[in-house]
Amino acid sequence: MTSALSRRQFAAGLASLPALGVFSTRQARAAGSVVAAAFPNAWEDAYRKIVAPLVAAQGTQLVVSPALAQDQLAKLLASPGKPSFDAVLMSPGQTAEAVSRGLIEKIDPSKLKNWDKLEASARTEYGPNVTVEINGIAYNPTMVPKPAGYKDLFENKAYDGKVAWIGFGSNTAAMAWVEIAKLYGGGEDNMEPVFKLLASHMPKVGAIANNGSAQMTMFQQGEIGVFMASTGNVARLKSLGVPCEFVHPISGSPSVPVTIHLAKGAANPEGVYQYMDAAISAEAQSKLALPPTEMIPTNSDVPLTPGIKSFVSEDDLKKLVYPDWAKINAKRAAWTAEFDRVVRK
Amino acid sequence: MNRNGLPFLLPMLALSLAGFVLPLALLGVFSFVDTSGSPTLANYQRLFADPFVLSVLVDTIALGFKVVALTTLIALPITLLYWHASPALRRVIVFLTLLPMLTSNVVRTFAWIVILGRQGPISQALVELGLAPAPRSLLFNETALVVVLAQIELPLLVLPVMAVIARSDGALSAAAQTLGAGPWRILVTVLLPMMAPGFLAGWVLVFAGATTSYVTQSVIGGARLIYLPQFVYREVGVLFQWPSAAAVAFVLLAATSLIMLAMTAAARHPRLAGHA
Amino acid sequence: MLEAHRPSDWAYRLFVYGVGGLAILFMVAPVAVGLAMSFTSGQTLKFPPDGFSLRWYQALLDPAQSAPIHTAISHSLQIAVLAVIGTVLLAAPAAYGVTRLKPAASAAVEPLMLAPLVLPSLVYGLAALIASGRAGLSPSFGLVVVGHIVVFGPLMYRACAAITQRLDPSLEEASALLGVSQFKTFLRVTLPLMLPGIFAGMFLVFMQSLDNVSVTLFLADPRTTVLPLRMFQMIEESLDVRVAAISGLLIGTVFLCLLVSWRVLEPRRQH
Repeated sequence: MTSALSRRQFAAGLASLPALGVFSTRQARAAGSVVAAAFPNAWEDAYRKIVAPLVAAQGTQLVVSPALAQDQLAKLLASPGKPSFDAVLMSPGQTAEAVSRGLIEKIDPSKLKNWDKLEASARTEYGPNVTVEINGIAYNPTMVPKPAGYKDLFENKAYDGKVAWIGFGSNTAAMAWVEIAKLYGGGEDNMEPVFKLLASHMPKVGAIANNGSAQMTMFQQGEIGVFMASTGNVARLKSLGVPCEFVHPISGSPSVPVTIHLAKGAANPEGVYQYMDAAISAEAQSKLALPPTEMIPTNSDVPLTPGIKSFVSEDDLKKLVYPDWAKINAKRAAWTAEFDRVVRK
Repeated sequence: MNRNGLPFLLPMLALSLAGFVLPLALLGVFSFVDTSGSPTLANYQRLFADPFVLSVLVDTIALGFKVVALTTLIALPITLLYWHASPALRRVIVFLTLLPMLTSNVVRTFAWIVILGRQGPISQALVELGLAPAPRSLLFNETALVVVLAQIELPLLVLPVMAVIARSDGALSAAAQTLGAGPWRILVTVLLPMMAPGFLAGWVLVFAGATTSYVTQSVIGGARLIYLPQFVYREVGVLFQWPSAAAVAFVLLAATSLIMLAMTAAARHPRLAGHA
Repeated sequence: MLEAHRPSDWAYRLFVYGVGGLAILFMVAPVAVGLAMSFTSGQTLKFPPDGFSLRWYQALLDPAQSAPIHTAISHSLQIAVLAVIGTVLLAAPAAYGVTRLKPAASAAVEPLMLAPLVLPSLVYGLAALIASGRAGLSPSFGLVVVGHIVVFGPLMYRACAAITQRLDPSLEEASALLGVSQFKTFLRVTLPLMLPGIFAGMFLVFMQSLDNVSVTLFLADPRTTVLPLRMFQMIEESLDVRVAAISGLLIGTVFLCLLVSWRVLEPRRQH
């Protein structure tokens, strides 16, 4: 059985399936709808409740589909040209990858009414930034003292067995590791000091998690007292009544914009523009800036809420660190694999 | 028996060929090409040259055997209880066995997180009994993972054995008892051979379940224990190494198939199958 | 039934009733813990629960709070029901057909029928995704259903084969002598006898389909959110108690169904 033959038979077999009516009912993508990926849970809920009605008011149904940035990328790669999402939500870590593989398109800003309201840094050629996630250290004040910075977590005994870490698949983690590498003599292109540090520190590590969500579970269960988090993670935990505070590392707070992109080959590009416009509107962003999401607005008409100000002072905003994703992505796969080998029991 | 069964079989055969055999064949082909599409053995060479991948493979298969062993130890007294039980009690035991199957794998896994966690009942009991100085987490190690997987897969072993028992009658055992054999002797000479086909059927399911349960492995084991499902997921979802993921998947498939074949061959062995 | 005279008999009784009871406790305890936690009045999953309340069941049933969960439940139920129908239509006749083949032929076909059962479903998910991509199909609801029929068909097949392999061929022969076609004989004589196996298979396929992650993970399109993945996401990030409530509801429903079916099936069992 050659593969060509089998493929043809297989295609023929599957091609007959639509006749059964199994595919037709759902496959038909209503002309007036847009499938947009959003990070699971907090983001997804907020976008469904706040952004979707604004899109619906323009006559388009917004289907919010939960997926982590790396899963969105994987799904786009799985069927290039026939994307399963019309719009994706990504940070530069994934955006660079999506651009280099030709999965997303440059946008036409003239189609966005709210484009000019955006802060200049939030206008990118591949889509509008909807927020900036500021990352730092989350800790449980009933369990551990307030950490000063990353070095503290490795060198102060109070944190032995209390800190969770994750591998380079996560943006938050990748940025924290880059910052830690800088503190120990490495950088965006040299992660050796981190792997050496980790290898010797492994007995004192609280837990290694598979992803950011898993860390949140461990934190709620009191398994760990410290993890690398965004202000959004901390806002979410606080809203659940978990004792949790956010600290800016003394070395600066690594930050990432979050951007809506238009997938190449999207079934409904006009609808995607309506969705982008809604997500950057003052109406949506002022609601998203409230708990439990407390997203930092990119629309200059929206003021910082007191809740957000308690996370980031004007001073903190000056100390934001934007990592060099081109350098990180070049070695990300290798680091991901190396991390597994270092932490494995 | 002169009637023809083929027409009844054809639809399922067709689906099996189109929906099962062909995708697997394609996966096989896929594992022998590089990213540009030309044939290569590099995906497999990389796997077998990398001690890390090999040890992940070995650990995964070892995990399967450990879970099979533990479920067998726990299933045996349950099935014996079923054997000796009255019809009413038997029904209760069947219901209690089905109960875990009605609870989503996700919920059972997270119930275990709470049970084994730092603030969970076991950790607190250890402190109160003076067996541990401070509350500690019992999660994120292989022992915990084996115990949790054993609980989750247990019904898949208990149910086939109970099915075998339900079909058999007590005549043989009663005869042995009349001849003066003690219960342990009856267990070894009559009951175990009778239950063996059920155990063999269950082992196959437990082994397949334990080696591939991505959710339980990652949540209970944590990221420091790496088994093939996590590895495949990482190759596909994070590193986009599809041909390499296909190769890993195929090695997992080959290893599982060999073990299953051995178990099935054992099930056909006249001494084991004879009493069914 | 079990007479205990010698010390070893007492040891045996202790093993069967004592260890057996403990083993059942081990099997059921996590379920009980999960159920108990679903009635908590607190914010997150905790054992022992903070207090008793039905608030999470209310939250689960409230469309305003739980619409995405309802969508996922509806998708999962549709997939499970279609998978059950598909396996009944395909696997049940196959389980009959295989017993009416020459022994050599059935020995050749049988492993193929059962193979998906022992294949790691993660491997199958990946294979099916690659194959459907090559065939020009993107992930969809229909693909998930087909995938579930392929993967869980063997459960139905095995449940039915357990019966068909023990059927007395003389019944069919009598029917054939009366000039009834094979297909009608199957419908009127064989199928009713297979019903217990079909019901057992339906239960197994339904439950496994409802709980499947790995096939769905690869084959579902973004609109087809399914229950187990949704539950996993909810519980992983925020230990959402509604997930335990979903299990509570499911257990309650099936418990009622079992009670009813025992009552209904009881008279028949006695012949």
